[in-house]
Amino acid sequence: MRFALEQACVRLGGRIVLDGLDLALARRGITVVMGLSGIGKTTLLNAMAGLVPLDGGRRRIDGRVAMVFQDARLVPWQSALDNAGFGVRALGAGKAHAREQAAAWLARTGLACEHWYKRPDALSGGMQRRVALARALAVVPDLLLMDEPFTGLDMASCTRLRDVLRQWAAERELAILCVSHDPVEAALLADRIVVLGGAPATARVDLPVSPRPADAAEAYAFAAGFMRHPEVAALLASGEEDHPV
Amino acid sequence: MAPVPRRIVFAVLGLLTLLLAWQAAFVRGGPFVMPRPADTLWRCLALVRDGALWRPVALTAAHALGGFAVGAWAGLLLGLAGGAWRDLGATLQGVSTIALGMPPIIWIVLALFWFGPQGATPVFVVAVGVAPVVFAATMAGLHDTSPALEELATAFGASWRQRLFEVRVPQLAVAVAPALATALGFSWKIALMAEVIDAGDGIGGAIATARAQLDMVDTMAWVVVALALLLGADALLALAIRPAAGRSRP
Repeated sequence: MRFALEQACVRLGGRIVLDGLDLALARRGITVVMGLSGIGKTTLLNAMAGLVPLDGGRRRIDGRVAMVFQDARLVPWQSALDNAGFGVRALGAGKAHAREQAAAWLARTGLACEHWYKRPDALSGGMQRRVALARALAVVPDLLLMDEPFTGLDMASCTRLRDVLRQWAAERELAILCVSHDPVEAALLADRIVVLGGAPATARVDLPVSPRPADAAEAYAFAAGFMRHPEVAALLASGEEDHPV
Repeated sequence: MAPVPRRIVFAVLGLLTLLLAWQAAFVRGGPFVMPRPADTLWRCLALVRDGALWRPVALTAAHALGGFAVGAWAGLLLGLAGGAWRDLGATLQGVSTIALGMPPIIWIVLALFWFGPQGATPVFVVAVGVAPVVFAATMAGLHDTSPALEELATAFGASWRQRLFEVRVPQLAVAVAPALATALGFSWKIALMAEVIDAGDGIGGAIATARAQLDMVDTMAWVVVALALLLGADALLALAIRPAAGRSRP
């Protein structure tokens, strides 16, 4: 395994959010993390990205990591093109090269070139999410961390971005760890679904998406079966716990 | 031909009303209350024709812009230092609050004592008015840095250079630019006020001299010149700020 958290413990604001969490990702494949709101899914992503320190356990990351945040988190004073090139410039590339890479990825995520020179406040929420995804993919990551990347997008945009991700993940060695609340989206995107539960949280359920749904109808059928899984139902449908993080 | 925008029609109407009121004040009160508007405008043209206008205008501009430059740099540097060292920031903030609350007229009186008449009073008063405004904005800009953007830079492994020039400096600029624009706007007014009281040179000095000679036409002519200069500077400033505000870095 190339990317892993081993017995990870993370404490935020005096509360232990994750404790004894083990999660290992293969070099290739898409893993979706689910769980109740506030259970610690974003914290898990941040721990994987090295954005929060571990209070215990180990983080093993062998490769380049890129992140798509829950909000698009674009730099307000930069154009869509320069935002998409932010990560490439962080790798030491010049502005011109970063723009070339960014342009290629903006085109691939479906942002029309008439919007490339607009600043984020002139873009719709969906356009901002495309830019955020292009920014992450443009650095050619080995591990892509995504926090609810399709929230607020229309169905056509979701399908397109999912296709871009699956195609890109198939073309090269890329591991994706994605947070989602939508079991159908998880079925359409993932090779594997991990459900977090407990307080502090650990990975309680770890299921492969097999066989892979060929279309939306099969994805709905898989999602229905997944939600009927006794432990998943207990973890996702209960909702009696209110987690502040 | 495109119709004239409604707001321009009403703006012109406002100016015409002002001119009518001025004319009415002249008719009712006589030339010692207000001079005839036409005489004033002719005197303005005469100032332009004789070349008497340019030296006072240049001096007032030098006082306003010189004071602004000194004050803005001082405010910016002190703000950065105050942001870097918390204790220094708290100390400077106290001083800045008092300086901000001090009416410019008090500074003018004190500066006349310190520098004497026809000295560096206008430049000093402008600088001391501008510095605390820019200082406060710089401190606020440094304190209000976005943790989300810092996290973005960390997540992508941005170098200190990229972090500084793409994240921190623009954030600071967003906070400081409006303060600079406001400070530049009032720099002209404070410079004029200081010149009038100082009775030295510049447009304010010319107004003071005309007033001392009880020459109402000359006084109002210089007032009109001062207003034209203020409005021109404001328009230039608006033009300079507009592209920066709407810029998308193509």
